[in-house]
Amino acid sequence: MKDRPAVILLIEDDETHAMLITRAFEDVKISHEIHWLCCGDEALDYLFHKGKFADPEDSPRPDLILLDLRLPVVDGHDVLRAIKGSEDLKALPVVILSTSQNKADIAKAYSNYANSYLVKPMGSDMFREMMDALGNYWLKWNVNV
Amino acid sequence: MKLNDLHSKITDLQLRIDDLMKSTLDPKDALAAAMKELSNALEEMDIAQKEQCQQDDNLQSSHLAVEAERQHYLKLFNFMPDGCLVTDLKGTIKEANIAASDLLRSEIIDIPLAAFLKEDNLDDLETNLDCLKRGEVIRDWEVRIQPPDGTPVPVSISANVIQDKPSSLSWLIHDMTEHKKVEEALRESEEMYRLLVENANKASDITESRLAEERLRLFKSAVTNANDGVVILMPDPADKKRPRIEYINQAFQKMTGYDEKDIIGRCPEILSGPDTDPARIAEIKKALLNKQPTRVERINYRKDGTKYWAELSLVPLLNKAGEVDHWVSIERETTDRRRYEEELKEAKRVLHENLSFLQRLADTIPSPVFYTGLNGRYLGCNKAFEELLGLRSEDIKGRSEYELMPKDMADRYHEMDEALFSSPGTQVYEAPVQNAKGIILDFVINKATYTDADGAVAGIVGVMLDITERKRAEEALAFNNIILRTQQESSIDGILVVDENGEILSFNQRFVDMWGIPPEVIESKSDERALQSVMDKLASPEEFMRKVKHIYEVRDEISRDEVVLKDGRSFDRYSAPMLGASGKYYGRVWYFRDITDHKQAEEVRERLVRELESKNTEMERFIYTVSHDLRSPLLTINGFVGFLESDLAKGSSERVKVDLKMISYAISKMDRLLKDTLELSRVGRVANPPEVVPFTEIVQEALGQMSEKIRVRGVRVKIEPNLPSVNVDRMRIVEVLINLMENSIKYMGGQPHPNIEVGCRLDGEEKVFFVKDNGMGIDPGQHDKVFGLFYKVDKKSEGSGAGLAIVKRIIEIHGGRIWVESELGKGCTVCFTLPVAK
Repeated sequence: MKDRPAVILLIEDDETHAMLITRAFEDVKISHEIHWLCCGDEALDYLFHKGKFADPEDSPRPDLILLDLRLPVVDGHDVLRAIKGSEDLKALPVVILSTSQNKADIAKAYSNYANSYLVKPMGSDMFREMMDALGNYWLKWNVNV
Repeated sequence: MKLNDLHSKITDLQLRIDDLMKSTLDPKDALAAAMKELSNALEEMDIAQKEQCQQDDNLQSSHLAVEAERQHYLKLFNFMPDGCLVTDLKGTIKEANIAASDLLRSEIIDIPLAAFLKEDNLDDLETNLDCLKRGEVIRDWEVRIQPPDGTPVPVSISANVIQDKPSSLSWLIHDMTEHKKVEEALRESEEMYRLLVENANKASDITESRLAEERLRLFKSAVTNANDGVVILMPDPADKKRPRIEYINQAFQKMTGYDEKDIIGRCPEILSGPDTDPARIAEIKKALLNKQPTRVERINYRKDGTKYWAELSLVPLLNKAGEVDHWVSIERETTDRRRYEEELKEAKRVLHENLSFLQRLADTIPSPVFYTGLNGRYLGCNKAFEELLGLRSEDIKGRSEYELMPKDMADRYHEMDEALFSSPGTQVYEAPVQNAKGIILDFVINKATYTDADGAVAGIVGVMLDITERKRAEEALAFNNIILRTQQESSIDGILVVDENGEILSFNQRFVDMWGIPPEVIESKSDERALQSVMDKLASPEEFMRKVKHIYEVRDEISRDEVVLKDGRSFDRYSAPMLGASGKYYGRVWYFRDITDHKQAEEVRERLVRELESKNTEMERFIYTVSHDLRSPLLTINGFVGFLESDLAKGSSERVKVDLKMISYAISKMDRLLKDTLELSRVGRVANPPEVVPFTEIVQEALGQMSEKIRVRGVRVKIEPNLPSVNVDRMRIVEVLINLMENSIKYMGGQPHPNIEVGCRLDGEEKVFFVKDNGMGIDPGQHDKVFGLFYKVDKKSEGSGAGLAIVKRIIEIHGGRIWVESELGKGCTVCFTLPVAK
């Protein structure tokens, strides 16, 4: 375990959803900080340290990426492909967190090496439960390089 | 028979056509097959016709051969030196030759032979007739014939039944006048001689030589000048049984070439030779031995070795002692008669052979054959003719047409006979004939006059061809032709049939109409001219001609192609060869079907399918989008309601405020999404009737509704003058322009001099409207996405992102297209097409 809080990169265009996720993560007993980005191109700038994220201090390497698929300009699939296509970033666990239950979306995400695919649940309790399990699994139990 | 085959062919064809009419098969193939059958049937018809003609010819030449034989026979019969008669069994004369007519010196036909005989000969005649009826032959019946006004003529009659005509008798009458004259002279001289000898016995021996001299003188006077040869024989003093020649007369010398010094004292054997019948010689010897008179006909040899036939009567002259003193032989050369008889016999035999052969031939001919005399009465016929009338030839012979057939037919028949007699030669006509069963049959009647020895018309020979079957077949064929013709004419295809020489055999009106071929061209029957006449109508005439040439060259080829005309029509062209059963090439059938409508319908269908497919895709995307985007605010509401509960419990008013804000935000988003979705679906369902509006008017109306926004942002709007009028749902297009211009304003970015230009440009022949701005522009990768439902380039911008989706839908409902021409940072042009008013 690192001595710093776990960094979660949340890429989500819907502000209310971002709020939901952040609130649900408040109950997870793991020290963490959430970096919320609302569009795909911003996320790529963050990950590749470009633009306003040129300084690595502003864009610490995330321990977990929560990625929505429906994003303006550069959508979630493109972001996923960019991450998994990068030698530097492909080891990062990317969990798709989407409203879409569309089979094509799910298949496409896995074919682009998404580490997991979660459908946003209905209700705050479910959200809390899902974020608790997600946090524990990926930030506590899962071992990464 | 061929006609039966033909008929069954036709029946078969009929069935096939029936099938064809019922069938749902491609009529083109079936019609082609039927045409082929028809051409086969025609071919066989043709062969049958030729065979019939051949048969006619055979019959005609046979008839001529018979006629030639008959003429030959008649010649022989007429020029025979002896009288010849033909009578019936009662002895009534039916035919006579010239010699017989001369002999009897009167009209002798149909007169009984008895009329020329003396009463005391009539019994003999009866006896002889009885013998003849029994088949016996009468030989050398010597009677005197009494011409009605003239002196009786001694004749020798031979008679027999005519071999091939048992109801007729043949009589050969040999004039014996000369012969009798000699015999009479001899008889008289014999009497004289007897008296002399008797007297001599009373006188002295000296008188012997005188008596002899006297006797010779008497002989001479009696016989020297006789027309028949006379030979007097005396027994050889050495051998009384052997005669030697004592005297010959001039006629004998002339006949044999021997003169007295050659032959006097010689044995009569000198006249015999290798061909002399030994039986005749023996007969003479026997008569000599028995001292009996005899008559023999035998071959003699002249001095120069030539043969001749001689009839000789040998009479012994006996002295008182019963010894033979002399023999007198009266000889007449019968070579000519013999020859005539032989020739006649041969001619008769040949004629008989020919006649029976020809009768058999005629009988085997299935067509009725007959011949008549000048009076129009039947003289003979074949079996087929007998069967036709249901009568035997005996009942037909001698009858006239009026006795054998109904009056109207006989009238016609008689009329044609008269016409032929008045202009001899040949005659062919069709006429109905009633057969034995009363059925009226159709015949082609071939008639020809025949002539007698003098070249005068002697009668008519006729051959009748039963064409009932053929007529029926022809009628069936005509019927089938009508069916085919009707089918051809009622076909939706243009049909053209061209023979192997490029002549148009058949076509239907549809073909002429489709191609617009001028009447004089189609009447010329020239395929080449027809082709030339359509050249200027074809989109690519050279290619068409090349293909047509190729198809005519490769005869077996079945070909299908599409022909495009300049006027936009398309024809489906199908071509197949017409081949007979034997593989004979008769030409080619062409079918043209106007598939213009079909093709257009096909195109429309394909377009509809494409549209439907794209609509389906769009619908899927729509459902996906709606389910995804509507779920989103629901999640928010649901989630924050939960947080709200716990926050309320904790009493954290700050958090409660946030929760409520989130819920309210999500609810209004949801409301907007639902409204836009409803709007989008309404665009498709509800349409105002289109009206013609100048496009400028629409732009002005849109600007009027958004003047505040334009003023606030300080946008300069430029409207191109003279924009065309469009035929559209005015309200909707105003909506489109508002939407586009609002987008322009929304995405002006930091542009200090915002401009919007509305105009219309010409892309090829298409008028393209556009709304152009100098705002931030859109990345080319996003051009298609911007029209997607709820797609937002900038998430922070107002609205649900349904605007361009609705715009696209409105344009598409008007049958137009919409697209974006833009680069990031270089402004944006949205282009669209609309139905322009004419």
